Amino acid sequence: MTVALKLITVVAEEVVAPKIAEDMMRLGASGYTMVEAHGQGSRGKRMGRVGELNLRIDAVVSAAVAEKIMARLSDHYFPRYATIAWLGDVSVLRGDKYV
Amino acid sequence: MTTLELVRLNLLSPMVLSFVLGAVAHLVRSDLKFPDQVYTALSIYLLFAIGLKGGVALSVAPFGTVILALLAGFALGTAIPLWSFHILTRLGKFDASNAAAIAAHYGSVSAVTFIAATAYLQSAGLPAEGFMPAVLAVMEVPAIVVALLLAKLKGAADGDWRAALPEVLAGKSIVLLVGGLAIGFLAGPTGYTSVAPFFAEPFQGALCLFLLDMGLVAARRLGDFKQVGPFLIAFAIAMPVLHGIIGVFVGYEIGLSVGGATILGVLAASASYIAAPAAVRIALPEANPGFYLTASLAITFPFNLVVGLPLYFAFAQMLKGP
Repeated sequence: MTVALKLITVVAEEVVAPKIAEDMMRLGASGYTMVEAHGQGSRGKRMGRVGELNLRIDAVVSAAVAEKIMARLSDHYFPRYATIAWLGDVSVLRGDKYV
Repeated sequence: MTTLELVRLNLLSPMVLSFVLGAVAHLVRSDLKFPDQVYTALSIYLLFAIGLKGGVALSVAPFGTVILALLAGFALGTAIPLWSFHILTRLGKFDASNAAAIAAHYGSVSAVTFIAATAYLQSAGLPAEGFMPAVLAVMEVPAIVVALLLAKLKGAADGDWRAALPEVLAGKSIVLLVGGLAIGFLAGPTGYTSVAPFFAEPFQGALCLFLLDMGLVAARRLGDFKQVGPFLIAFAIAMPVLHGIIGVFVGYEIGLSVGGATILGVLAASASYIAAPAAVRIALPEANPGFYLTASLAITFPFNLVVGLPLYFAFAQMLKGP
């Protein structure tokens, strides 16, 4: 009953996260979930506030769309902004909702 | 009041003490922390409240004085990033993108410093002209545009710099300030009385809470001091003093009161840390936030709050004479 798809998760600084979400939709995602996130990484601690807030975007997409989004992140966002992203395999109900 | 009394009045104000408490709380690793939503709500309240109050004052202010003050603010906001950029590249050896990023912050203004200055002048008994929030609004954007243009000229603007401008113009601080000014102007003093219990009376209390949070945030940046280097630390203290003196002088020349000239000095001296960082991050992603945010937030803001305010006020009083 379930369908195998990809879960793409992007954590990016506040100023660019909405633009990444737009790009994801343009590249074929059918939707996404965005939440505020705090944490620490190679670009320092991000505990909210001025220039310090991260947003986390989750989207369930097909493998092809996931590749396109990863490629876009690699050439446009990774070199310039504090951004990380990962892919995971997920099983979802109502698979046609996401592709 | 003597200069010493003015300094004491400032140091022992609830605002400055709240800021210090925030910093101390961070240093002793307290679990004190403001939720992001509370911070956002407080900043919306403060910006909208000064917009409203300024709009009401604008509706009864003489047109000529207002125009002169707005032009002076605009001129300062445009000129400051020009020389800041050259000082940073020539003397500080910063690359074009970092120099432009820092110049944008120092040319643009800090609303919180402005608000603290207004409260300080009130307690010193020499309040500024009520329409000064309009000058604050005018000074927020030009410097950012000038600095981004400088970076563009030097071929350093690598980011999405067309997206940066709408970001500033439609940013919450401009919408709340300009919107508040318009509403206050249209509603006038009579309309304002109906909302004054909410926007006027609790204002200074809200400011204390906001500064408490600012203290926490600024202290978190103290760890970045090593990265900033001695030149930028000196820049972050010397430039506000220079700009403050220029601002007070210009304010005096165009006929503002002692309070008004002080505010113009404070605006020139202050460095943005809300509007400018967002725009700069988009347009100049290669510029290091460790430089511009640490300088404006952890050095210039506390300096202006503690030392700058009484200094610019004393200079304004000196110009006016006894």
